[in-house]
Amino acid sequence: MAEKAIQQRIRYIKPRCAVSEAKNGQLHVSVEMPGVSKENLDIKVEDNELRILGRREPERDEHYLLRERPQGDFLQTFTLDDTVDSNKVDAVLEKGILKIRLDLKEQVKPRTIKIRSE
Amino acid sequence: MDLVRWTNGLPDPFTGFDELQQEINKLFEEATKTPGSRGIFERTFSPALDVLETPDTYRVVCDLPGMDMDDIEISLSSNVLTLKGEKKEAPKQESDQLYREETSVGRFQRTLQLPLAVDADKVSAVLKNGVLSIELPKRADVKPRSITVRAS
Repeated sequence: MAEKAIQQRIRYIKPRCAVSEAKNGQLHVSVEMPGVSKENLDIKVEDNELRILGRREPERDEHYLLRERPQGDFLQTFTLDDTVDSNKVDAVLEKGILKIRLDLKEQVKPRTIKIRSE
Repeated sequence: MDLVRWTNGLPDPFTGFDELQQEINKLFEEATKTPGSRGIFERTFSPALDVLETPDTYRVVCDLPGMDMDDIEISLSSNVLTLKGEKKEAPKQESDQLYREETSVGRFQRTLQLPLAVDADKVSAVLKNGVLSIELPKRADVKPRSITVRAS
């Protein structure tokens, strides 16, 4: 536990993100991770935690004239509630933006009930 | 439906302070490092830039996630480099409920002066994983050269 705590003290960059919910209850999370390739991306769902870690190749030691971009790896974590189906997480990385789609569990999906006329 | 930002998951009393410090630092850094939407240019945001120098080249690196090469315009006049473009908003469904939006869309423009003139014909730019990297070779005739001093 203590070791984990020390490990977690590494400073990560919190990427910018956007979260929205579609009408069918699906959650769309998009996370800006410029410079992260598909191979260096690690998405995990553990218990009820969605953990997104994006590693970037560190710059070779060069001479900087201007340095505005944050350095390091990206980490963003979300807690999910029981309604999210963790087996149906879909992720796409496109142009430096990671798009994650989270589906609801079947039993909590909104459904319309058709009324039969007798 | 509840999707909350996970802080650290550990009962570490200092984590909260750490995060707060980071957020405050970010606030100041963003306000002071990049020009934001201020200035005379038509822009809604300013992407962060890195400028690196090697003996023969300058390299300008810029975070532009979600953009295509067609959205970006790079121009150069002697040693003044201008980057501009527009980040288009992703198509959204009317019915979507937006919970959080930290990403910025709209126009941007950054102009910077490089210390020495560069060879405009040899400039190359690559956009990969949302990072734009521009390689600008220094012009041979302006490169500083060392002069050996002979003892008389």
